Amino acid sequence: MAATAAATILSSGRFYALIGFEIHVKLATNSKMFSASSAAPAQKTNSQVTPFDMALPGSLPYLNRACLEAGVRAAVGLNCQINKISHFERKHYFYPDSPSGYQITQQRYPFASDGLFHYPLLVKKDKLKASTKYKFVDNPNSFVIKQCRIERIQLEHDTGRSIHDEYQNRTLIDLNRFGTGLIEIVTKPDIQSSLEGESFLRELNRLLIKYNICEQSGLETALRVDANVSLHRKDTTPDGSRVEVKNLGSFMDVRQAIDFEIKRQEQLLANNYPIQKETRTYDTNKHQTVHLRRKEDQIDYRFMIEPNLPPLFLYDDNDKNVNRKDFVNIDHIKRSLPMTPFDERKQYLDKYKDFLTVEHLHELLRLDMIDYFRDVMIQLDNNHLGHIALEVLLSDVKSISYDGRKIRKFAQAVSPTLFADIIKNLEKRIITRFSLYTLLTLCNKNRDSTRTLKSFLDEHNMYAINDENELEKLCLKILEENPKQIDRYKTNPKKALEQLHSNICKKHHGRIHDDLIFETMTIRLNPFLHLFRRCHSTTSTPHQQAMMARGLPKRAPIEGVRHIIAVGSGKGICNLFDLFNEVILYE
Amino acid sequence: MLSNKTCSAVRTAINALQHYKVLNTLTNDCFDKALETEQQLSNEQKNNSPLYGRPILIKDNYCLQDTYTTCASKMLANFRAPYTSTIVQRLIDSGCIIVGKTNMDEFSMGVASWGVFGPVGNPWSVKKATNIDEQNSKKLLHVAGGSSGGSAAAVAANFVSIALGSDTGGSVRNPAARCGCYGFKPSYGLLSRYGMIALVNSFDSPGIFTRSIDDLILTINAIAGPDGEDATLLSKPFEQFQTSTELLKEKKKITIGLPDEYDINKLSSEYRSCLQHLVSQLTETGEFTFKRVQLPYTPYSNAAYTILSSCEIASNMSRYDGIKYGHHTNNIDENKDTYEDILRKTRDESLSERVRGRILAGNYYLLEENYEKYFVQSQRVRRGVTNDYTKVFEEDKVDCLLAPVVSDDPITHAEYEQSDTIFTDDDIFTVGANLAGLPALSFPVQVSSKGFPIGLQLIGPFLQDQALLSIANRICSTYKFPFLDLTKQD
Repeated sequence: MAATAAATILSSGRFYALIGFEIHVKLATNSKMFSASSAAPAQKTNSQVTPFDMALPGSLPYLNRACLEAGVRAAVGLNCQINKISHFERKHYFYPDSPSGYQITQQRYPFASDGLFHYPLLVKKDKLKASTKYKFVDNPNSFVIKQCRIERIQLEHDTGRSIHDEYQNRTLIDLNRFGTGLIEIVTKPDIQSSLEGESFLRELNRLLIKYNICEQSGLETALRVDANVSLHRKDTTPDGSRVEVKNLGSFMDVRQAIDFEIKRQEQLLANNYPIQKETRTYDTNKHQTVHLRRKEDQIDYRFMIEPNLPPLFLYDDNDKNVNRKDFVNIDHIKRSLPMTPFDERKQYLDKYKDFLTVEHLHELLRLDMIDYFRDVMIQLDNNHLGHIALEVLLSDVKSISYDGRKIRKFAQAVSPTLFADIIKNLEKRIITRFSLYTLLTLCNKNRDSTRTLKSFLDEHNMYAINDENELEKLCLKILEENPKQIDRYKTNPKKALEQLHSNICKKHHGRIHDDLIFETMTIRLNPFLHLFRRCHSTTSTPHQQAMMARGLPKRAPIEGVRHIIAVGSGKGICNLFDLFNEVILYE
Repeated sequence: MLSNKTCSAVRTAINALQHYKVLNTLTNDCFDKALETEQQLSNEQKNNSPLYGRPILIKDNYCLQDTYTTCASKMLANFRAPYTSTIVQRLIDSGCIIVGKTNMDEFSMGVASWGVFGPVGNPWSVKKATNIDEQNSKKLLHVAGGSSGGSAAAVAANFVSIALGSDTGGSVRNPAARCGCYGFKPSYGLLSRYGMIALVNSFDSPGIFTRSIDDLILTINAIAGPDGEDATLLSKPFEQFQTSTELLKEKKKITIGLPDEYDINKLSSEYRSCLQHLVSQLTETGEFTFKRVQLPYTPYSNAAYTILSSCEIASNMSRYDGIKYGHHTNNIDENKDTYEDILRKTRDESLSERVRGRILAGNYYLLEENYEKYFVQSQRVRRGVTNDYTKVFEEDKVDCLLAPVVSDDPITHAEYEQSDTIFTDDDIFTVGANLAGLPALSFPVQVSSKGFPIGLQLIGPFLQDQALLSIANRICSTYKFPFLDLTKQD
């Protein structure tokens, strides 16, 4: 089996993991999948309910074309084979938020199957270099591309929402969500680590948003994921047993749940316990998976063809009458699709080749900031500005967002327009490099995303002082206030300048440009320098001369020592290495 | 006595319905609303719909906004539909006045129209025996057929001239034959099922009871066609049917098939001779030829029908959980009962044994390990049955089939209570048209020696509804059936 051959052996060296996903994607359509009622989220409870949505007797489903088209877009994006005839089926189970007692889905005859999806691995740069796992990267200038086979995509609808009222010991049902369109994407177990899993899901999410299949919601994602995790001994082939972790709501949960599950199963197997087939859930507070039910307890869903819906027919350019209004033409949908995230990245690398490297792009991708980057770029008209923006994004912004962990919050607080304005003003020297950090922090904390840059600058008086005369005055004032530093300048001009600079910055909150102040200050201070030039000379003191005369240690093998491991940091250790390398060579 | 001219059509219908309460044709009425509507219509500019101002009845499984829609079940005894079904709305729009909802078998399961409101009486029993009261009714009243017995009885007795029923395995044709009126089940996909409470979605067809073929055509013209609600409807716009005056001009020679498989042992000699008599009578006219044909899958059709219908019933009935609407048990132990317990009690209390039996069977057939064995196999039989018909129509070149609907006169309610059969042998005559989705018309031919109408049915090719009605019109114009009219007796 191909998957086994390529399987990544876990660090313990004895097992490998296989992970498959079942992903429910909430479709971004105006109305529900089988009824005309609105599918808008967060409305007054039970305000979006037609007879069908509450399973009134006599009501019938009617397929929403928009849901089908969204499904076809997903199938094209995931390179699936699209089945031109598929069927809807009823999946029976009793639950209060499923008013009809069944869900309409596509169990036996899905509309799309046998797909393949490529995704870039989102691993931190240093890890990528250090890890032996990913040595198979053939080109350091490209992404690590992995692939996952897609088993099937099916159309189905969502259930209602149960609201458990603990105080009055009752359950309330909101049917607004019932009937909203979903696609379920089922993958093959081609994922082998939580990192791959997360990378896959993030790329999938990007595709789904790009293709307008799901909405980029305020929450992280419109995806709900069930992960099937199974661990196997290195020398065995998978036996189909697996543990299903249900209902993971965020990428982080997916990652943590998989990691926990792998560890748990690894421990069991290491102690020769069997892995039980079971369904588990993930406790987001305790960060562990919890047993829900055994597989044997699973109810029989008694699937049956949905008799109220005719078979689902799809057409392509080869079919007759393909232009009939009520037909859905696969080829027509293909032609209308935007670029995939994959091609889009290629395009960026080409368009911004002057300053954007694969590493940059990878970092933007990892931080989920590609779209933000694109939106900023649209507003900046030259590569120079673009380059500055990229640098600021990947250094200052990343650092104020806790090394990028909260960078999505920044993206929401600071609109691309505001960010582009900041960059433009930075370039025009209206904002200094020093106040930039403060300004970004202020903007990041700000809740009102419509505020203009001007309002920030006005409120906090952050305009750079560019007027020469004024600068001159400020410099003189500082020099007056700090006579000690003038003395210091005579012996150590660098330190003195730094000190003076820091004083002036403190006083004016970074409103002063580095280079300008150094320039002005140096001009002011130079007269002093001329007077006392070379007071601090390069001639060594006698002590220094003595030390330097000693020279480097003699190079000779140490008796009985074959290898030396040097532990340390900084330049010193490098020197040491140079030395010992030769020591070893002598041997 | 008031003459008919001064007495409104609706008032006449109401009077008759109230007078013959013993027939138990209604589950609930909308007399006041109907009178009000009639008044309103008479004030308005009359539109030119031929159905304008006609009082009609609808089976109690059609949703009509703000009225009770019970399906003759305790489960829905208090259910008021918040919407109106497509075809009922179309009838209202063409000026029909709904006088009430008619009695039926619980959720249309059965052939006696005997739900939670008791059985419907066959109107011909009243003609035979006067002075029927509550005490002796079970012995004197005969079964009206089902499941749309209330509608059939009301039309046959001339309380109203048009009524709606629904036909899943013969539920329109069977009571029409028992009561002596026309009962038409059109091709699947011609009439919208939206708002008609489903029994078996893939067999269900709205059906129409009338006392003339013209009324049938007028009603179909008013209600047929796509509605954007029922996805199984034909997407083509409906072309209006021609009325009988137009149809009679047709002089093409008709070939009618007589399926060997429908000549079952149980068919009584009187009913068999009725069929034979009609055949020879029609042959004599020279306009008709008859041909024996074979439908070899017929012996399996009942089994396939039973399995497929049970499956869909089990599925359809799973929405009745007492949470959103319908009966909800009062017998709840707050500390102990789980959701499943409450569900079980609710359903046990409100669904009859017959209904629960079907649900149980359906769920059994749908189990993963049984699905292939029963459901898939039955679908194969269904295709076989459909192919049988296609072959007969295309290869044997018959225009339609002539067949019995029931095999003998109806039994009394008392006798019915004693028997415990759920499916009768007679189903074999009717389920075929449902399995194949074909149009079929039950029409009265003559009155039996015991004084009950004998009906026969014509089954036509898919979507040849108009041609079928045209043939029926030619057949029925060769004799005169003595329609019952209880409004004129007294």
